[in-house]
Amino acid sequence: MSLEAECGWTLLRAITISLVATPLVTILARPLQLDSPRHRRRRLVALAIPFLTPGFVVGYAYSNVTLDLVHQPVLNELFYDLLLLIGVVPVGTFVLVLAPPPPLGPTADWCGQLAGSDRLRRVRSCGWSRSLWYGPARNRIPAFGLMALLVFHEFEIASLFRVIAGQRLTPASWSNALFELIALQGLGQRSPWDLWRFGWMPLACSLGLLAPLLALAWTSRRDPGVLRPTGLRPRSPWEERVASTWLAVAVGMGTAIPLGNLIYDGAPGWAATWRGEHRLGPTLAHAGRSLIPTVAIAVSAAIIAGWLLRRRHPGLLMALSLPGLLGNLSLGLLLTWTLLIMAPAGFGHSIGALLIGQSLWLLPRAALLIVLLAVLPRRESTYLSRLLQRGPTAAQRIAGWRLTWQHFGQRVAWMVGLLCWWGYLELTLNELLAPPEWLSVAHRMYQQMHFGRNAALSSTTLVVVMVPLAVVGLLVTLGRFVSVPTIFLASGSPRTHAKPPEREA
Amino acid sequence: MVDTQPGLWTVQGIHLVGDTRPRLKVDHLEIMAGRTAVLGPSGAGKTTLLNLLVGFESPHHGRIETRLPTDTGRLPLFWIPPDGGLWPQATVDEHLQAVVPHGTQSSQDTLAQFGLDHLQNTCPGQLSAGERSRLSVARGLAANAGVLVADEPLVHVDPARLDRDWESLVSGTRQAGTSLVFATHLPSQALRHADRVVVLSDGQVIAEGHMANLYRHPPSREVAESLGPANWFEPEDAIAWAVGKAHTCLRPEQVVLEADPSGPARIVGSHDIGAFRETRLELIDRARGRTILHLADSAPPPGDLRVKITRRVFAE
Repeated sequence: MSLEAECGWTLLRAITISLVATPLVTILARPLQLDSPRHRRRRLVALAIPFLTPGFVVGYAYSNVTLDLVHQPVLNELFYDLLLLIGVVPVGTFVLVLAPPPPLGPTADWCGQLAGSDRLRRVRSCGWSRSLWYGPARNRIPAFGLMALLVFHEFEIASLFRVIAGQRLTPASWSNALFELIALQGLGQRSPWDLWRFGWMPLACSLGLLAPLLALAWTSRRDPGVLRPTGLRPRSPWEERVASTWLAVAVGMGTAIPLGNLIYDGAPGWAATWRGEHRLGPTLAHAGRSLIPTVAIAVSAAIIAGWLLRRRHPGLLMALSLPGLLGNLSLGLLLTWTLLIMAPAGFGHSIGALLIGQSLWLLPRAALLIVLLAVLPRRESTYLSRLLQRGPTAAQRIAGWRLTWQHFGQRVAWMVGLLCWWGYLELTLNELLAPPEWLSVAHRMYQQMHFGRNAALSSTTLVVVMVPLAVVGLLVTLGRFVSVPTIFLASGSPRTHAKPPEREA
Repeated sequence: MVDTQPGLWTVQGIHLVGDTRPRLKVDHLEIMAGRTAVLGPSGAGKTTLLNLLVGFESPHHGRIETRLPTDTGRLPLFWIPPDGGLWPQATVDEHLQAVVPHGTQSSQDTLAQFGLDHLQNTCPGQLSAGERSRLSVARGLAANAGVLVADEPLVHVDPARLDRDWESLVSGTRQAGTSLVFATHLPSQALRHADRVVVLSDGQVIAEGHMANLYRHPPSREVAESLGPANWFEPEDAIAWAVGKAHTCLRPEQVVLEADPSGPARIVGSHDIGAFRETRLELIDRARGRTILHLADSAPPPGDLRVKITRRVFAE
């Protein structure tokens, strides 16, 4: 199949899955908007877990299923689509939850229904076409576009599922087809412009799918003149049931079964792994080496996104986020092309290129996390915490530092942790930009997965996935035992214009 | 008093589940034609009940029988939701034009009534909160529906014009023969504008009936206090303070503190709060006191004066 045909099939799949996903995310978003904070946190975690599960782990865990279904391509395609649906639904839900409510709220919509369409038709601006932009579609279309974009760019599962069925490779995937052209036919080696010849179509599709999200982000900047309805349509019991059932299915199929599969499949290899026969030591060392640039990249992406949001530069943030939003393959190809054309020889595969590429890829995710976790604290509460940090008594200084940690430090730590997780498990940019000595451990596992499943690979993959989780667990445990450093408690006298309270005699 | 007006809604065995407690639990409730106030503190379930009546929400259990007038050529029902429910893309004038029964009908009078005539080409995003409240009410009136359900209407309107706008709403519905069901947490609005009242507390109906009747003879302290300032006497208190068993609730305007050397109480102190006066009394033969709220319609009584509480009688 030609690249154009693969691109067309992938786009069709992306649109179909997103059409199914959009009503589902509408149902999932409503309980999140109406829940109490405790329930909301639980639901958010359950929603995020399948999205955070690495695609290559899911693809590896189910690769045998697709082999079993090789003679039933429709079932194979549907199974792949279900896994993609599970992966993208959280993203669409987050868009609906985070986006400002559309100006045409549910109460206004109900008033329109009570008035009757024949009456409303008399006034052009109350028609359905105008309502499309002001009503719920205002947020649902961008959510649809972003989910379609993620499906369109999916690479890892497709790559591990891709088998020859009949006369063609299935499932169709433009990203895999393009990668095969680069890897097998040396596309772009003779002339970097060759990359454009094949890459323009996926890039145009990506921009088209992303356009509604960019339009929403641009028009949602703070505008006091825009109507913000307060009413949310109350949830119904059947929506609750659908949401709970979906979350259970998604966590089960998207995370529990793949991880359980790794544990079960790798069980025979555990003894050998611990004895060192499967090179546990070098694997751990490689994992540690992979984490080091990831931490630097995550911190830099977080700092840039935080600075741009704090200084209110939405235009610059959107411009810098655009390459990352186009997907890691598009970004990797764009960077490869740019570096081949413009950079000094040898910069193409370098740690510098990797740092730039992954930072740009993580930047929109960092911005999303800053908003989602409310990382940017309110100025008033920050100022009050600082006043306490410089308080005259140790108790006040401890309280000040504890508040700063709770309201700012903890959230930043979670944000950087999540960015590290994504960076550590990223494969495409690693493949395209990293020098051989900096290829990540996840990349190595992924390469080996193409040669089939075995106990050693399953157990080593589990170790590789568990390394960052173990580091987080260790840091959380340490954080519980280590009290506020005494250096903070001894910090100087208050630097405020307020007169300190007089001590009682 | 016998109800002659037809019922608009019958609510039967309604139950709406909430996070920690039921949002609404009603065994039986009739909403009559005319003007009905739904009264209760914040979180009592007023909005939930009104949402059910207009069909914006559905009950988890139970049913609502609707008998709205449908053959009159008018809209059977229109709603003033708590957030205004305005259409962001439509101007002030278009809001009214979209609902008036005949497209050409002038909405100028209604706009002028609510002080919106100079804003007719403005969209809701550019209006203040008070103006949005007024627009929502003006649209509700312009719809000329058989029944208008208003959830805390005019809530953001400044006090200087609040009474005038309420009067416009009530007189407008009266002239058009529109039944009005409105939620409020202000007993004064309910007293002034409603014939009947439904009192809610913690998602349950604690009283319903004719406004004047419930105001004078509330069945419980909670209902008494929901409907306005009240001096509530438990049966044993009624005997001790000699107000008579039959009068467990005395409204401030019903109370007269009459100087009486043989009265059961003496005045400890008093202070005026606007039209009312709070007077602290103490029983002579017991070390017990209470505060009585009554009209400040005379000079403050001197301290230590022995008094008895008498009831001013009004025509029922």
